Amino acid sequence: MKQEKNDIAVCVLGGRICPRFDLSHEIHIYDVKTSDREPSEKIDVSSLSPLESLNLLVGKEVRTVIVGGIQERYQAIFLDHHIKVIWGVMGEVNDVIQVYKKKSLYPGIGRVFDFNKPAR
Amino acid sequence: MEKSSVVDPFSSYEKVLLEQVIYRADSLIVISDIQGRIQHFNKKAQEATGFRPEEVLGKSWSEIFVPPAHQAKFRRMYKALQDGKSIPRNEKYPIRTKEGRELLIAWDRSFIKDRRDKIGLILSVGHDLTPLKIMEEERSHTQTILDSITDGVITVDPNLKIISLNKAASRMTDFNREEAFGQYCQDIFRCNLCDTFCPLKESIGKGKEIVNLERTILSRQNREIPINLSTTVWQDQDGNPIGGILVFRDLTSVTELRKELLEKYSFQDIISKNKVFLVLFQILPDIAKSGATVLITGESGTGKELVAKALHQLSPRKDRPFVKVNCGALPETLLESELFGYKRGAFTDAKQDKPGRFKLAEGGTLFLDEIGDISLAIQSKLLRVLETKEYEPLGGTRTEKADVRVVSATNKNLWTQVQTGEFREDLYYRLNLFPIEIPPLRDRTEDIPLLIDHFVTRFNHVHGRTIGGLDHSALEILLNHHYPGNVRELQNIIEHAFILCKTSYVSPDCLPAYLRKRNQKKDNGRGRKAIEEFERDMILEALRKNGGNAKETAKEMGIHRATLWRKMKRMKIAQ
Repeated sequence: MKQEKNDIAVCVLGGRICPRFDLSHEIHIYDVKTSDREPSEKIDVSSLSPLESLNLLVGKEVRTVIVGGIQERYQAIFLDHHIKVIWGVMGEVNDVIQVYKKKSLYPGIGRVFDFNKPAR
Repeated sequence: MEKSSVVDPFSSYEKVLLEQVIYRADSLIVISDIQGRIQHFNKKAQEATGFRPEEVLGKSWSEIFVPPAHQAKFRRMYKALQDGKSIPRNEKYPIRTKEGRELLIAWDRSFIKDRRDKIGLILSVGHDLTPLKIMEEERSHTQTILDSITDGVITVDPNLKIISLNKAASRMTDFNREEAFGQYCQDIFRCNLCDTFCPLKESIGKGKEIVNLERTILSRQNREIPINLSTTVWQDQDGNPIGGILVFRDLTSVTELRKELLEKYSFQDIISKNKVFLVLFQILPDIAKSGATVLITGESGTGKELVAKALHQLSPRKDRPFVKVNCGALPETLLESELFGYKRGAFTDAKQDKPGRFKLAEGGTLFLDEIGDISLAIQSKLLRVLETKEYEPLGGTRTEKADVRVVSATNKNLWTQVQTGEFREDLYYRLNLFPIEIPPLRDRTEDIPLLIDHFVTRFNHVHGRTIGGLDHSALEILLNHHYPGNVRELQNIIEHAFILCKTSYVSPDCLPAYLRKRNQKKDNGRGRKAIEEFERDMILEALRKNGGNAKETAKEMGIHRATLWRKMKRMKIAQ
């Protein structure tokens, strides 16, 4: 039986959640079942068009995409492939992942902090 | 420190120490007795109020400093103090200067008690809040002004965190002030150059002013809005950068107008607002219906084939084939068999019958491109078909009927060829029943912005991209180019740019190198003229849509009414 994937894709720009899907230079793939803080894969999408990046994520069968903003036309394609899009997210990638793992991340959430992370 | 002799509970040592501390203090210090009579009055207080010590010592605090509106409150306060009741230690209230101005002071009171534990003196230490109050008023005043303008304005600190945004910016981004304050600009502004080139960073870092970049932003609700943005550095009084200012304008209406213009100046697949073309658009349907042979002349790449296709599409033959033959690309023998076909056994390799282009175009249109390149032998055969509507395939014995409309094109001067004997005069007149001459692109620069828009839209569709267009510098280069290759060259340039462009707008770096080099050498001013003509069209279109109402037109175009008037006056547009 094919094992269901539980990966999430996070659009990244300079260590933070990318403000727009079409501006993503890097996409980090996380397996949320594990407690790893590091992504299982980092994909350089700087040379890809948004549609190519989108197709790549569809091909990887990710379950959720986390991003700042995303045009409706791209959202619609993700939804067609049963991929959930959590948009309207701002903040550092690590903070966002921790909040996601606590099931507290939702579309339009805005600025995200992980209040439990140790102070630097 | 100045003093009076009314009450003096200090030892001489304490007095010296206090004198020094109070004299050097950077705050206003006033010591009064329980009746409110002023006992000590430091230098800072003298500077702030303008009173000399001899003018205030021993006199009532309220009489000297308190503005009339606050005197009753003061009298109540000192009465309460004399009755042994407590009064607030910290308060903000104004004092009056010698010139009659009011200063807002934050007072911190301490009560100095005598040996019997009774309050003997009141030490009031004040901080002048007037500069802060003025700043606050100025800030509020500035905010009111900023809120009244239709352009979005965002200010950021040197770390690109948002300090303020006006109402228009809030409306366009869908973020309110409180949400945006302290956030990184890229998280709120979401512009499609945040990933590659931050104009604010450039302005703050290099003190450079960036003007008129056309980009898109993505609102909080994921609405894509075309904008025009400019940035500048924000400096303190000494000229040190303390942040950046971003001003942007919603171009949604302008973009829609551009689309409408493109539709207005499109005919079949031909896009032009050139006078020659506009006349052609008018008469093309009639020419098409007439069934007459048409000779299209014009330089290579001007779009002769598009005109031929339009003629076909507008004719009653539109449901039949449109067949093209490039006469210049085929040698004479091959061209003959290509045009008329051949029968099995006509020559060594003719193993079976092959229909010619005349046969394939039966009932439709045959487009003979580069007609000026055909040999005299073929010319005579072609003339026969045109005259008799009949032809014989190579190796054939039977004459075949040809119900074909012939449209031909050339980039050569056929009449000169007739005179030199290279082209048959009788064929020339046959083909040239209705001549159409297409002007080269350099003679219709007003079409360049329209064609760029058209190609950008087409390549976005073909390549699945979302490129918004060309930035100002790239557009300037294209508008100043001579285009020896005409529209085809422009199309190739845009396709080249699409391959290299990694951002959302084509910059000069994405253009072919020969264009960039040439542009560095000269600017012939044609570009600016073309932009002006394009702008003129947009204004006329917007005026037409709004029934000539300048106010509504300016609103739709996102410009101020006075700006519209100025432009209309300069462009000689009567309302």
